[in-house]
Amino acid sequence: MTVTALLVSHDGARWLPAVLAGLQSQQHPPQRVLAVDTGSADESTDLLVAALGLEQVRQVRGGFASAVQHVLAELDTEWVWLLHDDANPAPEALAALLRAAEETGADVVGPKLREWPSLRRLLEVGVTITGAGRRETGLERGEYDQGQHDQVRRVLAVNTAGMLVRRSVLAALGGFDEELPVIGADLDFGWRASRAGHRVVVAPEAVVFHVEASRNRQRDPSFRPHLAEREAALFLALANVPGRALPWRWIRLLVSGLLRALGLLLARAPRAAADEIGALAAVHGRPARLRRARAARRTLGETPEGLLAPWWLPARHGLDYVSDVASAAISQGRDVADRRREDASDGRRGSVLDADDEDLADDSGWLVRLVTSPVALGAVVVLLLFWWGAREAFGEVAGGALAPAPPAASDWWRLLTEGWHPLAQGTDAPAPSYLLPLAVLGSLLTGSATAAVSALLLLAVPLGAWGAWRFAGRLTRLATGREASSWVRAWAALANAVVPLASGAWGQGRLGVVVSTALLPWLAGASLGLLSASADRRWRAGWRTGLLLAVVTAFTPGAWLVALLLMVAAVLGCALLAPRALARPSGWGPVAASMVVTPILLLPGAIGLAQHDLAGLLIEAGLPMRAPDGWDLITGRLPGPAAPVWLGPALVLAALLALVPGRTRLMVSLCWVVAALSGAWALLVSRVRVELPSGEVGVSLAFPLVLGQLALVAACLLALHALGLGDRRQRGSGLQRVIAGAMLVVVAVIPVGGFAWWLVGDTLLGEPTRSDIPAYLADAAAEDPDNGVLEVRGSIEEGLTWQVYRGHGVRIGEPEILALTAPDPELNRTVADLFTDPSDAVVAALPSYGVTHVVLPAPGDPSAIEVLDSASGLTRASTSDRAVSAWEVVDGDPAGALDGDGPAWLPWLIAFQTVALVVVLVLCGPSKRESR
Amino acid sequence: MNRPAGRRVAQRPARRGLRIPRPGPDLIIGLVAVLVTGATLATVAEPDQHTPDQARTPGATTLTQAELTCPAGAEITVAQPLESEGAGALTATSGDAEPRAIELTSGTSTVVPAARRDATVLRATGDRAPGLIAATRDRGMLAECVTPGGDWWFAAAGAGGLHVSTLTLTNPDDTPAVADLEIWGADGPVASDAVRGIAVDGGRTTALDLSELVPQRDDAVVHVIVRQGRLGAAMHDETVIQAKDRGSAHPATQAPSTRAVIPGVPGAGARLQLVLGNPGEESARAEIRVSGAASESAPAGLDAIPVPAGEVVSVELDRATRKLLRSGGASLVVEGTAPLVSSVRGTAQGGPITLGAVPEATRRSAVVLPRTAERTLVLMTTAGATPVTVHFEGAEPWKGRLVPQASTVVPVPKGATLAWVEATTPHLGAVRGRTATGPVWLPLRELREDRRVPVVQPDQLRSP
Repeated sequence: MTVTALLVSHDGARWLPAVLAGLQSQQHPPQRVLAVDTGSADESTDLLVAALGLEQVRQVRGGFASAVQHVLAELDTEWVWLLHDDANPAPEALAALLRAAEETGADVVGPKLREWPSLRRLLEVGVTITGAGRRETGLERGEYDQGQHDQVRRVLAVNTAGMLVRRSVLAALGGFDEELPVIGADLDFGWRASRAGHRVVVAPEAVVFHVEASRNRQRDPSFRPHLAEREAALFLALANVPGRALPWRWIRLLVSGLLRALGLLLARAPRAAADEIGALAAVHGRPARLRRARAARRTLGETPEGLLAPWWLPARHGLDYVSDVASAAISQGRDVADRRREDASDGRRGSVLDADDEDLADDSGWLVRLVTSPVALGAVVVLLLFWWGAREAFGEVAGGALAPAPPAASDWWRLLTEGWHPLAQGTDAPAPSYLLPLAVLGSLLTGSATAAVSALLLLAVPLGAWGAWRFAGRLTRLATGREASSWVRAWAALANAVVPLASGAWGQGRLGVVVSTALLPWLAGASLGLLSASADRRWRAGWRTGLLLAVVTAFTPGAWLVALLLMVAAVLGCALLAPRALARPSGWGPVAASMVVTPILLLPGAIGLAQHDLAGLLIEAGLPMRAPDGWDLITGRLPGPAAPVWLGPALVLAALLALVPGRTRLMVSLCWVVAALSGAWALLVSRVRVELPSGEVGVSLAFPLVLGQLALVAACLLALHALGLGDRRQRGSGLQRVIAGAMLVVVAVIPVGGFAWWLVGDTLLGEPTRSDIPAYLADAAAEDPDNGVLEVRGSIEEGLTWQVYRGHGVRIGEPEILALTAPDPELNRTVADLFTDPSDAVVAALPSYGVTHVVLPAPGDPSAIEVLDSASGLTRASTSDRAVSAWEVVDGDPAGALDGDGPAWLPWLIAFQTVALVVVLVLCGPSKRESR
Repeated sequence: MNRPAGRRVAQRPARRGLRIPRPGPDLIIGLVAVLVTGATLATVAEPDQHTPDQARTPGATTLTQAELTCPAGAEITVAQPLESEGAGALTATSGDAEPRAIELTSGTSTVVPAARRDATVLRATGDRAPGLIAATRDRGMLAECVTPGGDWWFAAAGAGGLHVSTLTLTNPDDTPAVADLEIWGADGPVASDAVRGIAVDGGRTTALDLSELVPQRDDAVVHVIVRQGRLGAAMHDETVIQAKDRGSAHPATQAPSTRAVIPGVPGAGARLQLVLGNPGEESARAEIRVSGAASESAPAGLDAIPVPAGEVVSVELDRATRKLLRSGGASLVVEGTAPLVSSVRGTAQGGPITLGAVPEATRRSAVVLPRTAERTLVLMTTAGATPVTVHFEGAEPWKGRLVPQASTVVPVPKGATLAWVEATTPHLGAVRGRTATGPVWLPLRELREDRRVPVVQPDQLRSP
C-alpha cells in the first residue's frame, strides 16, 4: 500500500513545525510527502521547503480543492493521505488508517479528530448531515475522548484533515468541488463517494489533532465559518435529495432556516442570524447552481441506508437550543444571586436583627426561610391586606380617571393599528402609547382587557414594593459599601408602595401614576447599572433603562423630558468630576442609548401627536382630572380622595432630617437635587396651558409628584441606613441616636398611616356604572359605529351637553384620542337647532353624522322632551327605564358617515416600532452561552 | 497636676451640647436643593378650575310655530295681541275634519266656530305664532285653550257624588302620546293601573271620567304627566246644584309651590271651598291670607290648615275670610310650609265656579275677556311695585300701578274682548265675569312670544 501524504497549507506557519514533525514520526511513514501552498503570506512556504525540499512543494492560487486538483495528476501512489497545515497526526495515525482500509475494504478512511491544543476533546469521528441541512458529528459539545466512539464504522463522510483516500477514487470523483469551501467540501466528497458505491469509514484508532483554524477564524479573521458551513450544508442537502422529495425539502429548509435566524436573533447572536439568512439566500437564490449540481450527481446512486442523521435529530437540536437560552438566563440569575448573597453576608454580619437568618443554612427551603423571617412574614401580611383593600379591582372596575375597559384586548390592538378611529365624528388622532403594554398584557391574559386592568391595579403596587426593595439594597450598597438591613429596606419598599395609595392615584383610577410608581424603582435600579465597571453590563443597563423609561413615559407623558433633564444634569456632573468615564463609547454610549430608546419606541404616537398637537405630550393618561397644585406636590397628594394631608409633610420632615448623618449626606443631597429638578419641571409645565381641540385640559404633574416623593423616600432610606437602624452593631453618637429616634417615629407613621387610610378611605373606583343608553341601542352602536346615539344631558334653561355614543362608549385609551379631536361645530349647531326648531331638515341631517337615535337620560328635561316629541322626523323608541327618553330618527341612512383615512405612514412606523422593540428586548436580555 | 489622693478621680468631662455638623459642600448642595424644591413647588401655578360656562342661560329666537288645544264648545275666540307685520297662517283642526284656515290680523281677535263634540287644535305658523291666545265658549262657560305640554295640575277635581270632573286629553301631533295620572285624595294617593300609560293617538282626544277611573267622594288632586309626546289637558266639571247638573270649566292650577295666589275670588254671596293638596312626602301647614285693594291680611281667627303628606284637604272659607273677599276684587294667598297645590271651588252668582292658583308672568300676559256685562280684572304684582299698562282690544289702554301684596281691580271697557298686560315686574291676574248661567273665571297667562335657544356644548370625554 503506497501512500502519498498531501499537505495543504495556507498561512499555517504557527502549526506547520508540529505537523511536519508529526508526519516524520509516523510509524508507517508515507512513501512520499507532497505539500501545496495556496498563497500563504507568512513563512509557511519556507517551512515546507526547508522540511521537504523545494521539489516537493507546490504553490497554487485557490482553495483546498484547487490544491488537490493541482497535484492530482502527478500522484502515483495507491493512496493519498490528505493533511491540513493545522492537523497534527499521532504517530500511529497512518498505520491505523491503512489497517482499517485493508480490513474493511474502504476507499475512504478518516481518523478520529481531537482538539488541538487540549488534545482531549473530540471534534469529529465521521460526519453526516441532518434533514434540516446541518452538519452533524454525533458528538456532545465539548465531549472528552474516553474511547466511547472507538468503533470502526461506515459513515457518510470524513473530514479532509487526515483523510486517507484511494487515488483512483479521488480521480474518478473529480476531486473536491472547487465551489465549496473546505468546511463543506469533505461532506460533499464523502456523500458523492457513498452514493457512487464506495465505502467511507472512520478509523478511530487513527488520531489526528486538529486546530480547526478556519472554523475558529484563526487563519483569516474575516472568514465567516458559520455562513460557509450553513451554505455548504444547505446546498448539499438539496443537491443530494431524491427528486421526489426536493420541493418539500426546499420549503422545509427555507422555513427552518428563517426560524433558526429568528431564534439566533432572540439569543443576541445577530451575526449568526445574518449568516443564516445569507446562506439561505445563497442557496435558494441560485437555482441554476443547484440544477447543475443535481445534474452532475444524476449518475450516482442512492445514498446508502443509515448514513444520514435520524429524522428526529433537528427536533433535538431545537430542544438543545431552548435549554441553552434557559440555562443562560438561569446562569445569569444565579450569578447575580450569588453576588448579592456574598455582599449581603458581608453586610449582615453583626446585625442582630438578621442573626436568625444567619443561623439558617444556605440551602434551607424557601418556606422555612419565609416563616422564620419577620420581614418576609410582614410582607406577606401586607400583601394580603393590600389585596383585600383592593378588592374593587377584582373584575370590572372604573371610576375617576379610569374609563371602563373595552370588551377585549383586541380592541386596544385595533386602536393602535387603525389610523382612523370611528370615535366622535371620526378622527385620526393617535392612540396613546400606553395601550401597547396594556394590549400585550391583555393578550397574555386570554385576551381579556378587564383582566389586564385588574392585573395592573392588583400587581403594580407589590411590583413597585419589590423594585424598591431591590433598589434600596443597590442604592445603600453604592452609598456606603454595605446593603441596608432588611428592616430598612422593608420600610423603603412599603413607603414606595404607599405612594400611589396615599396620594390618591390608585383610588382615583389614575392608572398612569400607579404604573409609573411601580416601575420607577426598577428604572432607578437599571440606571444604576450605568455606573457598572463592566462595559457589557453598562450597555445592558442602558437598554433596560431606555425600555423602562419608554414604558413609564407611555403612561405618564413628560417622564422622558424629566429623565432627560436629570440625565443632562448627571452627565454634566460626571463631566466635571470624572470626565474620562464618558470619554469612551462604552461610557457615553449606554447613556445615549437609554435616552434614545424612548422616542424610538414611542415614535408612532409621537409623530401622531406632532400632527395634531404636541401639547398632548403633557396630558395625563385617562379621563381628565384636576391637576395638583404646589401644596399638593409638597404633600404628595392628588386632588380627590387622598390620605390626610398632614402625612405628606411628615415625609418632607424626615427627608430634611436625613441631611444630618454625614456618611450619606452627599447621596441624600443628590436625592434632594432630584426632588428640586422635579419641582422645577412642575413649575415649568404648570405655566403651560394646554389648549387641545376638545378644550382646555390640565397639564399632568403626576410624574414630578411621584418622582419627588420617591426621591424623598430614597433620602430617608439612606439616612436610616446611615443611622444604623436595624443594625445593633452601630452605636451612634448622642445626636445620632436622637435623630434616629425622631426619624423612626416620623418614618413609621408615613407608610402605616397612608396604608391604613387607604384600607378604609374613600375610593372613586367601583363597578362601571351602566350607561343610560338602552341595551338594544348600545348593541347596535357596538355592532356598527355608524349607529351612533346622540346622548343629551342638562336642560334648556341651564344648558345642554351632548355626546355621541359609539362602540361601547368611552373606554380606556379613547379619552386621549377624543381630547385631541375637535368636536364637530356643524353637529353642535345641528343639536342646538334640534332643541330650538326641530324642522324636518334638521332631523334629517342627523344620519349624515352617524346618529340614528337620540336619548335623554334620566332625569330628562320636560321642556327638551317636549321639543323632541314635537319633531316630525323623530319617533319614540322603547326604553326599559321610563325615566329615560329615546327617539329614533325615522329617515336617513348613516352608512359611511364616519368613513375616513388614517395616516399613510402609520403601518410603516408600527413595523419599525415592532422591530425596534424586538431588538431592544433582545439587547436587554442575557447572553446565550456560545456554542462550539 | 497630681491626682488628689483619696478622692475619686473626676471623669473627663464629656462633650457638651449637640455636635453641629460642619457645613460641607454636600450639605450646602442639599440645603440649596431643599430651598429650590420649596420655592419651585410654592410657585407652581394653580391649575385652572373648570368653571361652568357662565353664559349657559338660554337665548331666544322668534317663535315660528305654536299650537293650542281648545275644549269642545260652540265657538273659539282666538287672538294675537302682539303686533307683527309678517306673514303667517292659522288653522283649526277638529277631529278627522280637514284643517280650516282662520283669518287673523295681529293685534286683534276673532271668533270662529268650534266643534261641539271634539276638541280643536289651533296651529299657527310664521308671524301668527307669537302670543297666540284663545278660549272656548260654550253655553256661558268659558274655558281657556292651552299650549300642549308635558305637565298639568288640577286641584279640586271631583270623582263622584255631587261633583264629577272629566279630564280631556288632546294630542295635537301625528304620533301617539302617552300620559300617566297621579291622583291624591282625602285618604292619600290613589293607586290604580287604569291611570297609567293612557295612550292618545295622534290627532285624537280622550276623555276620562274620574268617577269611573278613581271613584271617590272627596275632592282630588290630579297630576297629568305626559310620558311621550304632547297633550293639551282640560277639565270640565259637572256639579249638582239645587238638583240640577251645572257644568263649569275647571282651569289648571299652578304646580306645587309654597306660595300660591288665586286672584279674583268672588265675594259676597259665594260659597267656596279651598282645596289644598300635598303631593309631597312631608306634612305641611297652610296659612291663608287675603290680598285686598290695599294690602294682605289674615282672616281673623283662621288658624293654619294642616295638610298631611299625600292628602287633600278641603276647607270651607269661613265668614271672616268671606268678609275680606266681599269686594270681589281680592285674591286668596296660600302660603305653605311645603309645596302645595290649591284651588277654590264652589258656587257664586248662581253657578259653579272653580278657580286655580295662577303662576306669575315675567313677560307680557293676556286673557280672553268674557262677553258679559260684569267683568272684573284683578291684577297683582309678585315682586316690587310696578307701573302697569293694560291694553284692550278696541279700547284705550289702562295705565296704573301695582303695589306688592295688594290686588288691583282694573276697569274693563265695555265691548273689549281681549286684554293684555305689560309690567316691568312679574305679575299675575285673572278675569271674572257673570253670565246668565253663572260665573266664569279665566287666569291671565304669559304670552309665548319666542322659543328658547339652549346653550349646547359637546362633552366628548364623558364616560358612562
